[in-house]
Amino acid sequence: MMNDKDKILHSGLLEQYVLGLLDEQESKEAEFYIQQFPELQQHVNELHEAMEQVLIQNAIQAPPHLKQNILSEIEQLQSPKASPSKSIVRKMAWIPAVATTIALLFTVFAFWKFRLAQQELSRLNIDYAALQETCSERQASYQELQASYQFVKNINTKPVILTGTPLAPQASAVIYWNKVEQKGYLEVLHLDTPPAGKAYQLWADVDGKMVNIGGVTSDKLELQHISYLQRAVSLNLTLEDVGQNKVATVEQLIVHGNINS
Amino acid sequence: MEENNIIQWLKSKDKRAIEYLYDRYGNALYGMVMRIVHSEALAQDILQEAFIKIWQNGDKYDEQKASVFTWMIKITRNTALTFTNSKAHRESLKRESLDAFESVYENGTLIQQINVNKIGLKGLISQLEEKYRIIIELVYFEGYTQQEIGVFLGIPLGTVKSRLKIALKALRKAFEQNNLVLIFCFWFV
Repeated sequence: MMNDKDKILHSGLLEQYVLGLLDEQESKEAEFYIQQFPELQQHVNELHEAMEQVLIQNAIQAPPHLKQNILSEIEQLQSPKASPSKSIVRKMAWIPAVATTIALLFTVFAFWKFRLAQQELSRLNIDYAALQETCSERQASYQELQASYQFVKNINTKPVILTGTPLAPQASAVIYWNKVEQKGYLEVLHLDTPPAGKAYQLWADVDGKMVNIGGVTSDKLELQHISYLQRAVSLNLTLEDVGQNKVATVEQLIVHGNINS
Repeated sequence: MEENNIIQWLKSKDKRAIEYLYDRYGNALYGMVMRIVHSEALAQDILQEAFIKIWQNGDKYDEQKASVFTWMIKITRNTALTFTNSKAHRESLKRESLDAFESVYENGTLIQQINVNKIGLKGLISQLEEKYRIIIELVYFEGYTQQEIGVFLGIPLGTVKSRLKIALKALRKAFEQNNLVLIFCFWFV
């Protein structure tokens, strides 16, 4: 009865192994048996020698430059520039880890900066909206001022000086009266702040009657628009109860002036 | 030169190992590659690539498994066969009709005529009977699988295997006898 060794010896496996006909798995199996049995190793060695001999006997002279080409390529591969050696590769192994850490830190930093920028942007947006509002208020105010100035400068606008009565000799005001545009403005030059519960009220003398043309303040900062009455001959300012009176309290006349004077 | 020194050089990737091994086995390997690829330019490229692999893998050589020459043969042959098995190479073979198998009609029957021996083999192998020699040539130098050879020669796979075995056995025997003759000659002289 044949043992494993004889079976392999007669199976042709070793010949196939020597001729390189086995796949990787089969080669490993063959090598396993060869290592187990010195006789198989001997047989394989002899087969190898025979094949080596066949090749030596059938050698063909290679061109002389081939050897130099091979040695030059090896020299090139040996120079560190051409290809980094394994040790260099090993030395460089920390680079990816450090690069990843840096990238991670950068991402966190960039995100943090992004959030800050976002907050800053919303703050700036609020500021900008407030600024825009102020700006349009100022613009409106400027336009108003400009309009008043143009009105005062208008050739058809006549100033009417209102002078203080014995009740308030220091009080004075100017009415800018334009019969063409049919508009009127009041500029306070000096008016005492009205006592509590009292307010200034302006009256026009029309056909001998005092006609209410609205309340005014003692504010000196801006021109106050007043109602225009075509047939008014004089303008009079009285101190009245807050809420405006229908009839002028002549005893409380503070300033007055004639339009056509 | 001591074989041990060469192995040491080879394992430490010393260029001197390659110089020595090339001088000693370069032409034998070149002959093998020429028979596989049938082109001088290709054979030179392949041999150069193979020697670079030998140099690069020197540290992996295991002297317990095989002689350094057998190890080099394996690397070189695999390099050449990788090339001939590539799609590009097979396509070019088809185009140039250089395949080892040429179809011819004989008495109305298609038979595959084997076109080997583009470069004749000498020495031990030439002493083998035709049917054994051709199998070794096809398998070893042309890189055909045993199945392919079975199909083209019209013989069962088992027969291909047994012929291979007999061929190698005969080769080994011829090699031994050759050595005996040499020893005898030396002794006689």
